[in-house]
Amino acid sequence: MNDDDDLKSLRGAARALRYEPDDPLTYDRIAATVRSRIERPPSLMELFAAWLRPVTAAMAAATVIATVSSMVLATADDEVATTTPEIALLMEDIYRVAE
Amino acid sequence: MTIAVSELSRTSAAAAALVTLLSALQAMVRDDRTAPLHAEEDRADVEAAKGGDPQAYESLVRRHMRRTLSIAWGIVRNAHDAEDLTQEAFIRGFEKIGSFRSGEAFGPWIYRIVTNLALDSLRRGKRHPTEELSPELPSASRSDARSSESMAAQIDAAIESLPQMQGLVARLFLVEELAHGEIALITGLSEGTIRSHLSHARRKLQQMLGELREEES
Repeated sequence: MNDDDDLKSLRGAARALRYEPDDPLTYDRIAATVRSRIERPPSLMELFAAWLRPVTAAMAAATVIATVSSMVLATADDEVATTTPEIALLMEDIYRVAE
Repeated sequence: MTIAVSELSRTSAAAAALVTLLSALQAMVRDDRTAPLHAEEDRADVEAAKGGDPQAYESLVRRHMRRTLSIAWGIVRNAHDAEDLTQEAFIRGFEKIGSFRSGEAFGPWIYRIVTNLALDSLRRGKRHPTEELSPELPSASRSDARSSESMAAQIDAAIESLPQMQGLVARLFLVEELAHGEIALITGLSEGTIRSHLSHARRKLQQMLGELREEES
């Protein structure tokens, strides 16, 4: 008999440990509370929060995109600045060879 | 004389087995938790609930609240807290139903929500005093009923003596009769860890039930 079979043989006795509420109305009360909470129309604050959440997310995304773009552009400018003299130097070399 | 004693013990063992069987049958009639996790019925209700149908969601609530309440009680061991946690779990479930993946089983999903809420409430320490469960057993024979009752009490004591996650896994397997895969979905543990926890629980139960048998003999 493996561990599982050994434990499964105890399930019959352990079933008595399942919780059953003393109050028979407990289940109806749970269902009624859940129903009232999910059917309740949203309050003004909840509507505002629901509207604000995607707006905030969009603004955050736009900020991240703008920051990354400006960093990429700045890096590209630096590269142009450093490569220009090399080209000039190269042209100078070519001119000298032709001479 | 020896034959009479052995006959008596055989009769007593048969009566104990009968009591256990009756108890199991009674529990099956009274309780829908022995049925599979209602996958087919749930699927249609989940899709309707995703579209905002509160009646479909209420069907899910009614189908799963017995086990959800029992799982919550098994962790917090207080009727009032367990009821509050069950309500909260179903409300959160409705709020999150949009992120519920089609094809997933609703049962383990909602049991996971209630388990996390119950464990959080234990961590916060905001709870009412714990209660003892008095198992409902058929009173076919007083001594047999007492024997089954003490066995259930020993199982409960053994589960309670285990570390929190091991105890939770043992309770879900033994009391709620869930499969390894379902327990893995609920607890977020791997099936290997669950097997290891159950092995530990089995050793503890063997030890405690051995002591009980020694006391009885």
